[in-house]
Amino acid sequence: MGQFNSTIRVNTTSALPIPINLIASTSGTTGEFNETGTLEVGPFIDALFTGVGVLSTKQCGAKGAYVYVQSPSTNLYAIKLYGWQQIYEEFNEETFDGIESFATLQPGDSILVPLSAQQNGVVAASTFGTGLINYYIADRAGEFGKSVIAVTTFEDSYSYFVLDAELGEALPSVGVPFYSRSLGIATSDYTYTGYTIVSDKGYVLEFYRNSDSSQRIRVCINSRGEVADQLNLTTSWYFYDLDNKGWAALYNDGLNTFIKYFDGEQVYSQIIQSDSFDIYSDWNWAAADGSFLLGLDNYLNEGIYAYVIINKDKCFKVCQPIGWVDEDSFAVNIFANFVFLTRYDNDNGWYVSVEIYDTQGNQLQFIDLSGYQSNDLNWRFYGTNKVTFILNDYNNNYDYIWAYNGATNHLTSTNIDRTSYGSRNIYTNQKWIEDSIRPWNYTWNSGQFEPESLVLAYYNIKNEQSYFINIVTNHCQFIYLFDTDSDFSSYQFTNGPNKYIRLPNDGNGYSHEGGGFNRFYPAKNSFVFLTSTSNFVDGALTALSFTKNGVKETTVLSDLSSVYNGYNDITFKPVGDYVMMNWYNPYNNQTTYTMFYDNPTTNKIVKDSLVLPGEETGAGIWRDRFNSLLIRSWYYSSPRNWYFNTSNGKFTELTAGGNSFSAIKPSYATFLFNKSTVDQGINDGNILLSPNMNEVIGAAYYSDAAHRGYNNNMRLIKSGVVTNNVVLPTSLGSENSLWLGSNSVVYFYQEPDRDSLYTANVYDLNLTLQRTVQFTESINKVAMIGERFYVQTAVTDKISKLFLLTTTNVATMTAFESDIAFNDYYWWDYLS
Amino acid sequence: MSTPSLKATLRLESTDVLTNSVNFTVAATEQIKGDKDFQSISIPAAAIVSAFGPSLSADSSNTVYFYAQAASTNVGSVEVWITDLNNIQILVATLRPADFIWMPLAVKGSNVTVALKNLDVTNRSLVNLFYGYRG
Repeated sequence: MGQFNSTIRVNTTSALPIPINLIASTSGTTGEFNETGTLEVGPFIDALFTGVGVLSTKQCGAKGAYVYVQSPSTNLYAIKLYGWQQIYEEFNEETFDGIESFATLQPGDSILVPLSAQQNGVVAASTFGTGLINYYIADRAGEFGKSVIAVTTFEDSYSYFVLDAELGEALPSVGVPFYSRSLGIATSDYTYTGYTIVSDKGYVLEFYRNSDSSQRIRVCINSRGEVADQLNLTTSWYFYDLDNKGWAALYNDGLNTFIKYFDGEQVYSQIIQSDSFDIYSDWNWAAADGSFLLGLDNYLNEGIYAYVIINKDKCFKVCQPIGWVDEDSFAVNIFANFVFLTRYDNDNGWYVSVEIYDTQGNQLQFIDLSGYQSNDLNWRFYGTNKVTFILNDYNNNYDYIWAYNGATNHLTSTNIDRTSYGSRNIYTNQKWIEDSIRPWNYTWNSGQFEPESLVLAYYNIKNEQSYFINIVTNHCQFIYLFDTDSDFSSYQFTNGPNKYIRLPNDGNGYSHEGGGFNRFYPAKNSFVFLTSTSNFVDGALTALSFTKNGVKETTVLSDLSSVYNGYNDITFKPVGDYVMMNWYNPYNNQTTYTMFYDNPTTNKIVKDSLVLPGEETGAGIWRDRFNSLLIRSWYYSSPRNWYFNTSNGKFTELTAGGNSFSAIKPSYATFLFNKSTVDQGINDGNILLSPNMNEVIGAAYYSDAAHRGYNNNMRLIKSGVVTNNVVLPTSLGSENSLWLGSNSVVYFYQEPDRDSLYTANVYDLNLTLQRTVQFTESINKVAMIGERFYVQTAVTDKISKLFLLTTTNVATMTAFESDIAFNDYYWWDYLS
Repeated sequence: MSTPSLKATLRLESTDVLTNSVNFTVAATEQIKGDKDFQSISIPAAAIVSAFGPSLSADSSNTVYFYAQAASTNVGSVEVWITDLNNIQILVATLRPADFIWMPLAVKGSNVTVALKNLDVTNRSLVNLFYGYRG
């Protein structure tokens, strides 16, 4: 990525009736490519058949490209420029008489022209003989696929359209406000049943034949709105939504397995000789690149059951059962591009190997387990691209531990003599695929930290206390591996003397839901255990912090008995790079929030605390996103809000214009998280505040009739840094909502003086107003979907207008009554 | 009044994106004399307006340099269409907000026109225009 700038200056050198002194500039982030050079071009016919004169063979993104062409003054003849798409279409129709150049450059002329995505490139040709051109073409950043699709009936057949928010126009046609493409599927013959979205790009439209429901049609539509393939399936195919990484249709006729795979752009086909197939999805359905796992019986008629990776139109055999493959361990993870399996010696009853492959079927790692003669093997995916294997060799009472990092193809190992350690907890966290595609991540505490580390606690229990959390141990050792560390580290907490430590049950280590006291979260660069000098009732309470800088003990409370009365507990959880601790002291009726941070520069633990009156604990009081923590106290007559300021490491009260931010209308909820903002399982750290809105619906606030007319405010906390306060326009109408998207905030409201006029103010995440769009028709639906804000207005009972608003574009088109879906939003029913 | 004269300079630069040529910079200068026009056009929603032409057979030059810039405050895009000497309509470019186009028009003969189509069906779009016959 980079920056592309162009400037034009036009000014008079002598008097004109209208003075001219104009400078115009354009700039933008470039996309995947830019090319420059000198071409010798020939006649148009050469370009047509040989490609000579084509400026670039690359496919530009949704926002097209900028093209500069200069014909040097030394040329003898003119140069003509053509749009490649038009040539392509005429070529297919075998009629070339309609091809027209869009520009003619005389010697010395130059042209700078924005190229839309549909023009698909530029071809230069000389009008006679040969000529030279200097050219520069820069792809503009922007991908296809932020789209809405609708299926409708039109003239007795099904039709669909795609409206792309990035492109700003309807696909695949340019500039046609009313567009639909007929599928040629008669409504009298087939029934439409719904969509599957694929890879946040494409769609699969589903139909069955009315006279025979076993006859199915699947129409695969790519991100450009083109039909990638239409599958007319007349037998009993099985269809698989591969965790949104791909879509597959499989069928076996007893001799062959037929596979169709759609990655959102292209449909791939293959036929593999086999009697039957099994699909494996114990962890996830697909790897990060969409590869998925099959078992094929009588593979290639060789009389074996083969375990294979299906990667688009390729099939890679990785194993056949010499011994027994533990099928639960033939697994992929959608954050990783590797596959692992474990092999078991069924005759002897022990594991013999762990094997790791890439998605091309190449073996990356082989762990020989045959010498241990053990059938006690644990394995877990965790974080991104990582997996761990723990083998207990009960013959000599050792644990052997391996951790594999798929990003670096690094395998590391260690072992521990368990003679003094009767118990073992495995602490890992897996990222959750739902985070990126399900709508509920905005309320759950998912994605607040990077679960990239592995921690194992070995200990000997002397006394279990509450909920198997607080224990007394005389032997306790930690083995851990931070994110990109190449080797394990270890720390001996006690080796004989009794000590007190909180060791949550490792069964909760999977959980991504915070707020509980029996959870444990090894984050990317740190994790913390609580220890007590006494019995977790009195004595000092200490945080035992593990970071890449080492292990430190920090006193949290000098005397636990001053705050602990037997029932209250301490919440401890990571908030991005920080760890938050929260407890209530019943003796002085105060609540404390503390944020810890290991400063890599000073190698010191930094902490700041906020003490509030009253019992102010629980999820209703604080909200967190990655590196963002917001706390609201209801104790005061007007509730007050604080956030943890990551720029100075201090809790800071939120105020607006000198007044308490939430005091304007304090009775309403003030937290808002957005949907579709989780990248690789980590949320974006954004929390929007708006005090006069009362109801959280999806990603929006609404205000009710009693509170319209206020000059409402909003502020956005972004990873612990808060924006300035922004005053929103006054609205008196019933439509009045505030939406937080992945890169914009939209305030949608009814103008107070005109019932039929609606306005959408689109702000960027600095809360700077980017554009204002007004709507004069009645509103059917509004919603924020990731990067775009969706508005549907009613033209008639059957016809509506659709709008996709982003900070840079407004895409719009007219549509018949139809079924609406977004290709990165699973729950499209909500919007239809 | 002396003969009007215009100078247009195009500068194209990209300092950090090139993989095959670092710090690529091109500047081209054209001297334009003769007739002139410069204006802003506010195009109603979904409307098509004429921006140039039709050219006349008696035009003084074979070439017109045409410049159009879509205002950065526009909401939607604007298309630039040319109707050439053979009365064939060609879509030349789609101007997103803040985009501009700088191109020569071959106007020898008559009836060459440039039209602007507002793709925004809700809002007006503003386009700055300038063109001048090549001297």
